Amino acid sequence: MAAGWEEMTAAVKMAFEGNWYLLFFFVGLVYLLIAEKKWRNFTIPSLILSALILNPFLYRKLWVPVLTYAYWRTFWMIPIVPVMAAAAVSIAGKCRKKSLKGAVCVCTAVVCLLGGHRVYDSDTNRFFPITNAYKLPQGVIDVSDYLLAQEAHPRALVDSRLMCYIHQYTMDIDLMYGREAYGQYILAVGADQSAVFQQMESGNPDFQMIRQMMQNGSYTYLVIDRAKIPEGVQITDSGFRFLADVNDYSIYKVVQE
Amino acid sequence: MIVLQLAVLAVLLIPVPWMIGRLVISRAGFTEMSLLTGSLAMILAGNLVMWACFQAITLPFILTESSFLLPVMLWCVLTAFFLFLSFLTYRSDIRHSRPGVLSRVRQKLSRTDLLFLFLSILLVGYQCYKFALRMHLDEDDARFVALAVDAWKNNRMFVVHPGNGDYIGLYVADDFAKDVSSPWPLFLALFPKLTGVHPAVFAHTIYPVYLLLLSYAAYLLMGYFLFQKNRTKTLAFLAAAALMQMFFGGSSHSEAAFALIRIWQGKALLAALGIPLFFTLYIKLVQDRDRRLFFPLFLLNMSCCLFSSIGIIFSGTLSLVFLGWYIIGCRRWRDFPAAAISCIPSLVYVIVFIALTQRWWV
Repeated sequence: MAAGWEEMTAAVKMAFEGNWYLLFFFVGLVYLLIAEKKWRNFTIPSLILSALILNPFLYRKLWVPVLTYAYWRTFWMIPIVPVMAAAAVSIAGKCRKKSLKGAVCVCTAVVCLLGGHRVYDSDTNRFFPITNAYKLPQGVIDVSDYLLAQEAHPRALVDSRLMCYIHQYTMDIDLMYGREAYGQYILAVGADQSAVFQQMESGNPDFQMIRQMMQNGSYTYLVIDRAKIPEGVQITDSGFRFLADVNDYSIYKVVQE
Repeated sequence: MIVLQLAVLAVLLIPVPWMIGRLVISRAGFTEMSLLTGSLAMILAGNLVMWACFQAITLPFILTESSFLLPVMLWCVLTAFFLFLSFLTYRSDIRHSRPGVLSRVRQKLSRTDLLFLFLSILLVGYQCYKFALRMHLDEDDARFVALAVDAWKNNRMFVVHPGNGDYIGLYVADDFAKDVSSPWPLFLALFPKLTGVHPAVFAHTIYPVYLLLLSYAAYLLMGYFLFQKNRTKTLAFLAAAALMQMFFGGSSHSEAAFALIRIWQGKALLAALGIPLFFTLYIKLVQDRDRRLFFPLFLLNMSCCLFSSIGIIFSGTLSLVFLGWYIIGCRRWRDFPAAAISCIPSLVYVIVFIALTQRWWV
C-alpha cells in the first residue's frame, strides 16, 4: 500500500507539475458541496470518481494493470476545470454588490494566472511559425518531392530529423526505419535497423556498414543532414553517388556493384 | 479547386452536422434554447452521430482488409439517410407545431454579457489562432497522420507499418490492436477522401480549430445547463473555463495541454471534448430526468470508443460512476435499462479489444 501511495503521488506530481489546479479543484468541490445543494448530483459523483482515481489500492489493483504507463490520463476524468469555473461563477453570483462580483472575477483570474502555468510555455508544447500548408518541416516536403521525382516508390534511409514526418506527407516512400528507431514504441525496431540508426546518430557513421545494410534491404537513397557528415569524410568513397543538396540535407544513391 | 475543396469541407463540418444533430436534439428534450446554444447543441449532436456511425461500420471492413472506399461509401449513404430523415421530421414538426430546438424569443445582451462574451472570444480566439496560424510538431503523428495518409492515398486500413511503410498485413495483436478497435486515424482520412484536402493539412490546420470550438461549445452548454439558462453566468463560466484551460499547463500531461496542443489526436479529443461533453449531458440528465437523454449519451459513448482505446475505458468508467449515481442516488431505478444500453459501446469494444489482442478469432 505504501509503495502504491508513493508511485501514485509521483504520478500526481508529474501530471500537475507547475500548477495548483488539483488543490483548487478540491477547494472548489468542497465549496460547491456546501453552497450549491442543487448541484449535489454532479458534485458527489465527482468526489466519488476522484476517490476512485486518487486511490493507492485501486492504483495497484485496477489502474496500472489496465492502463500500464498511462495512469496519469485518468486525471482527465476528474472535472477539474468545470468545478473550478462553476465555483468561481457561483461565488460571484452570491455577491450582491457589483464591485464585489468584479473583485471575485479579478481574484479568479489572478488565482488561475499565479497558480497555473501557461500551456504554451512548456518546452514540449511550443508552437512555431508555419513553414508550409502541411505544417511539416520544409525539409520533409523538399526531400520527399525530390525522391518521388526520381522514382514512384523510392526506398530510402533518411535522417532522424525527417523519419517521423515523411510518412505524414507521403506513404509512397519506403523508409528503413521511422519513429520506432528511438525505441520504447509500440512497434519494435529490427536489430539491423537499430544498428544503422545508432551509426547514423553516432557522429562518425561507418558508411561502408550503412551501405551494406542498405543493399541488404534494397534501399537505394541515403538522405543525411549535412551537419552530421564528419569533416574530411567523403561519403562517395563508401560506394555512394552524390545526387543533390536539398534543404539541409545531402542525398546520395547507392552505387550497385 | 482549393476553394471548391474548402467549400465542400465547410458543408460537411457545419450544415450537415447541424441538420443531423437537429434530428437527435429535437427528439432528446432540448427545446426553447437560444440561437447560439441551440445551434451549437445541434452541431455537437450531429458530429456525435457522424463519429458513432463511422465507429459502428468500420471494424468489419478493417478485419476483412477491405478497401477504405467501402466504409467511406457506406458512411456517406448513412449520412444522406439521416439528412433525409432530419428533413422529414423538420417538416413534420412544423406541420404539428411542435416546440422547436430554437426559441423565437430574442433577448438583448447586457453590458456584463458583452464583457464576458468579448473575454471568451479573445481567449478562445487566441487558442484557435495557435492552431490555425502556428505549427506544433508532435512525433505521435508519425503513426496517426501517417495511417490517415495511407488510407487517403492507397485505400488501405492498418495494413502497413506506419514507421517504415512496409506492408505487414492487418496488425491486430499486442498494443497495435488499439488502433483497430478505435480507428480515429481513419476518420482523419474520411473528410480528406471526400474533399481531396491532404490529411496533414486537414489534421494540422482545419480540424483542430473546428474541434477546439466544439470543445468550448460543450463547456458553453455545460454552463447553460448548470446555471439554468442564465446568460451572464453561462458566458462567465465559458470565459473562466477558457482562461483555466490556458493556464492548466506546466507538464505536458494535463488535459488542457492535450486539448490546446494536439487536439486532432484521438486521445486529446477525448480529453478536450469527449469527457466535458459527458458532464454536459449528465448535468442535463439530472436536471430534466428525461430518459431520452440516454440516446446522446449512447452516441457519445460510441464516439469516445472511436477517439481512443482509453476512451473505451474512460467512457465506461464515467458511465459507471455518474450514471450509477443517477440510478441509485436519484432513485431512478426504472431508467436502469436505458442507462445500461447507453453503456453498451464501451462493453462491446472492450470485448473487441481483448479479442483482437488475444487473437481469439484466429
